[in-house]
Amino acid sequence: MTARVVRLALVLVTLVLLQVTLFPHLRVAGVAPDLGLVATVIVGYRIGPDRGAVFGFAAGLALDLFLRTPLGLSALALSVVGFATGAVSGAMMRSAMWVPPLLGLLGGLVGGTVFVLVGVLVGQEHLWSLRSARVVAVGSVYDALLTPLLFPVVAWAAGPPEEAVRSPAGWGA
Amino acid sequence: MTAFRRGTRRRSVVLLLLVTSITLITLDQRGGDSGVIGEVRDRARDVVAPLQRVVDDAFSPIDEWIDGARRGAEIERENRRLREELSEARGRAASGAAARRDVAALRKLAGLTFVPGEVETVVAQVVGATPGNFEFTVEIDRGSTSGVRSGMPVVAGDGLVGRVDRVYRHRSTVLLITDPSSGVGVRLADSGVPGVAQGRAGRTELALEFVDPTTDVEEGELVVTSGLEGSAFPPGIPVARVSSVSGSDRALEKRVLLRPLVDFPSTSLVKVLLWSPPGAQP
Repeated sequence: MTARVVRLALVLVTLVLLQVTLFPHLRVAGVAPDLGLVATVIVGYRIGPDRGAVFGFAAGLALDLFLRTPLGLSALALSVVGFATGAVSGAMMRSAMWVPPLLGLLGGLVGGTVFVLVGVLVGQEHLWSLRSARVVAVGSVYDALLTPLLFPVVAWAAGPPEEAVRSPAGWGA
Repeated sequence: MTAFRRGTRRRSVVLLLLVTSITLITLDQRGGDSGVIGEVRDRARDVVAPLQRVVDDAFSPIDEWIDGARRGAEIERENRRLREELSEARGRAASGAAARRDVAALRKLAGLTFVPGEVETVVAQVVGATPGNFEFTVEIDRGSTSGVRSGMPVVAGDGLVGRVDRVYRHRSTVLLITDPSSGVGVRLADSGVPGVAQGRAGRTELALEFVDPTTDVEEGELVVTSGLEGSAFPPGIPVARVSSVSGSDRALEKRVLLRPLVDFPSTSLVKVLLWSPPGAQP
């Protein structure tokens, strides 16, 4: 348990540093990927919705430190993504090659949409624009392409899947 | 029973995270840059700054090469145009010097606080861009130790870049005039009619808002900061040129778009004007 937390913390710090230093230079059509979101998707997929949500919260909070938007906005969006990924992937074919990129794509769409909508609700009106929709769409594809590349490292840090403690529906009784 | 407990635990964890996030959002919005959250942000950026600088330095030649390859023909045309303008400007410089002295004297007499050329400046290098996709900011390598304060105007050779948004010890974040949350009080240089140059999401052009629809606006007309009372910028800083005008005089609203004079992606050096609006907190 402790070893897993340490491994995930190391991965999180490394990805945030890459996000802040390297990936502003690697934009596609003006859009950078969200490495924290990609890792959150993988964590949720591997070890369940609650841990996915906690990892997403930590990753989002770390990224929020470097943004102008209110602290907690990315944390909220990534918590939702981590939980949703864990809940949905319980019902998926876990060995299929196409699952991680698909989850990266869906995670990007959900995370970006939550970020924009909650942002508008808390006073970031400038997020309500066609450009935001384009950013979310392009970012989701970028995230999907990066998911298979990050998968081995993040999956190693998350440890083996815990099938016994998973249920198809995260809110399930 | 076990499944029920597991479900309850998951619900609790997620609800706790959501409540914490919303609490943080509220605290950050109420507290601004001051307080614990602002301090944590400052520290995080100071810690990452050296690494960011190393990566930026490594990528700088690559970025410049890509930009040069993409804009080769445009740069050549611009170079020719600049040479012509330079020779013209040299001719005007001699007569301009006397006029500037007169303007400076008149401004002083009129009690205006900003006299171009007399405001102390700090030269800064652009060292990075935001990691986010929903904001238009750049990081510069000067901070509070160099006298930079939040709200100070930032200019480049061509004109206005933006204003200092957040200040750290050795770095600052500059909100570009193209950011959708940026609005600059301006006036049309020829007619003197005031308006607001508003950033537009994802667009390089600005929208000129709150302009009387009966105003005669010409394409290519220069737009400068108005410096009206309470303005965040001193008067007279060139901002943009009118790039398009649509809507008739009878229309309730005239749609005027502005092209900023500063080419943001290729700007590497800027100046921070150590200027604050009269009456602002130092």
